Amino acid sequence: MTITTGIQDLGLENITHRYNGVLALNHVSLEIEKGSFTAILGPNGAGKSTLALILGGMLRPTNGTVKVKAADRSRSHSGNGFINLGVVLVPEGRRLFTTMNVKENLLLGAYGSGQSKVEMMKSYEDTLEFLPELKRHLNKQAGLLSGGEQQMVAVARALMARPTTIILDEPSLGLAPKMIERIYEVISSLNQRAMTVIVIEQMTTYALQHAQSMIVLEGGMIRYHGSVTDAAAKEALQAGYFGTE
Amino acid sequence: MHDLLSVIFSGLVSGSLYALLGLSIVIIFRATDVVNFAIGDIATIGVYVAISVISLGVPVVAALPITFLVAGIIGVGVERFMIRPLGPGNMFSALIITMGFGLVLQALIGTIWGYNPRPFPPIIDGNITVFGVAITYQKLLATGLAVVAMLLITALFNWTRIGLAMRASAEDHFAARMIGIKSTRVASLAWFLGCGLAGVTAFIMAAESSVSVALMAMVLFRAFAGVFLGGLTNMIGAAAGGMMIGILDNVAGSYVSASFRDTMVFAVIVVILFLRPSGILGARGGARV
Ligand SMILES: Nc1ncnc2c1ncn2[C@@H]1O[C@H](COP(=O)(O)OP(=O)(O)O)[C@@H](O)[C@H]1O
Ligand SMILES: [Mg+2]
Repeated sequence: MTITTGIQDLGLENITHRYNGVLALNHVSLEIEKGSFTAILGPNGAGKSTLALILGGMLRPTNGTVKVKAADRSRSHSGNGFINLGVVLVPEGRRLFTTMNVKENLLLGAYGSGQSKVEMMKSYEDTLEFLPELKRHLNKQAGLLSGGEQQMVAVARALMARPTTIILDEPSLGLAPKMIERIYEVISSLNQRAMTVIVIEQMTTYALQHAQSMIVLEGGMIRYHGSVTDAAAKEALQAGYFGTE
Repeated sequence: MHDLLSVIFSGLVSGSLYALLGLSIVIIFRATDVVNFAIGDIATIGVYVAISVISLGVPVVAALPITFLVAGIIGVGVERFMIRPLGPGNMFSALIITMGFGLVLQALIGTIWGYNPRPFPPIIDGNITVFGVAITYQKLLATGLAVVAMLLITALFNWTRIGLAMRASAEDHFAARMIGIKSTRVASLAWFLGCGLAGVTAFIMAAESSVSVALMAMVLFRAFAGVFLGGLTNMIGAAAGGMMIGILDNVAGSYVSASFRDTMVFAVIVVILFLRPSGILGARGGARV
């Protein structure tokens, strides 16, 4: 069912996660191909954010194996996730440093990837060239920006680590359609530059316009994993797990 | 009016010490969510070590960095071996542990150096009159030192990589970990700086009087008052709070009664905490967790 012709970037084998007994993920296995664009979709409470945290290495699952670039990372837990392996997470709610300015937020994004000062400034310039709309906000406090601008800063901060893989948890939440389109334009362009992209959404409309493969998660289990264009994909979406709005 | 000005001025002079110690408390709290009640005793040990090295012939000026280092290293040890093993979210246990450790340190000081006050060599002699107040060079130097220490901290937190990382970690522990900041490193550095700076405060106090186990009691009380005034998470607030307490203390001492100073300071804390539980400049509610 899954297309795994390429090289595996991230892999989960039999992942189960419980929060103090509450089952959030139930025997989840999946492979994310290098350079792919995957949408993980599902209703509220499906376990999407839990999956995002595990894929980013920020949460150690109760059971199962986590592989990054084919190496077993289930036991490694520095508390810093997989950022030093090139896997960055743009988490639910963005988690910007709201009292700090945009420039400081961006520079902080480079901390975990062991860049020298010169490399860090290069990343900074490249990031601003890629997202020029941030240039006029550099000295503004991040918490005072609009939701869409903050989401851009969150993406930019993640890019400062020069990642190979980016995981975005509900990037469109609460944003105006125009802003969502811009975010997806940015994400797609990252994917075209060979970055592995995983977008997690409850609202399917935008994600499905750009992703090649999709995973439907419901009740902590995978209900569908395959190409977005398959007939089965349509069925999975219409199964009534969640709406399109 | 002239009189009030001089009272305010001497308030600022003593307030700079409360500000510096308050800043030390806040640096530690922001990084590790621990109110370190042992900070005064850790600082005092640093001064006793200074007394010992001075008696061995080390110049007084060189004893200052030694005090800073000794207090800082003890701080690192306390965080590493007493606080960190508790794991996150154990504020109450951490509080009890620092209180208990403070008592242990006091007993240790008494055992090693005795309980009688020890003289401490003055750093500089003479005095100058500012705003009609005769002020010793010693006090002026102390204030200068406290101000310089605070400026250095400001520079560290605003213009260095590690300072930026410490601010990020203070604002959002999770996000800081996510971008690769080592929380253990931030914790160690915060305890080193916090306790080291408290050592500097203790050194300044010692140079102004003699040294006893209770060296820091009066300053610590006022520094905490300043911190509650400015908010436990706000560095500028804590420093400003310390200055305000210094002024208030002097105004109360001069215009009300010298014996009511502590009562006045305490009354102000109670009123402020009643009106604004998180301090005047502190974060409201559970904004940072
Ligand atoms: N920190 C937590 N503690 C306890 N239960 C949690 C926690 N986080 C999530 N859950 C529970 O785990 C399940 C999956 O949550 P989550 O991964 O956030 O889903 P989604 O992102 O798809 O909305 C839900 O039932 C949620 O209530
Ligand atoms: Mg979620």
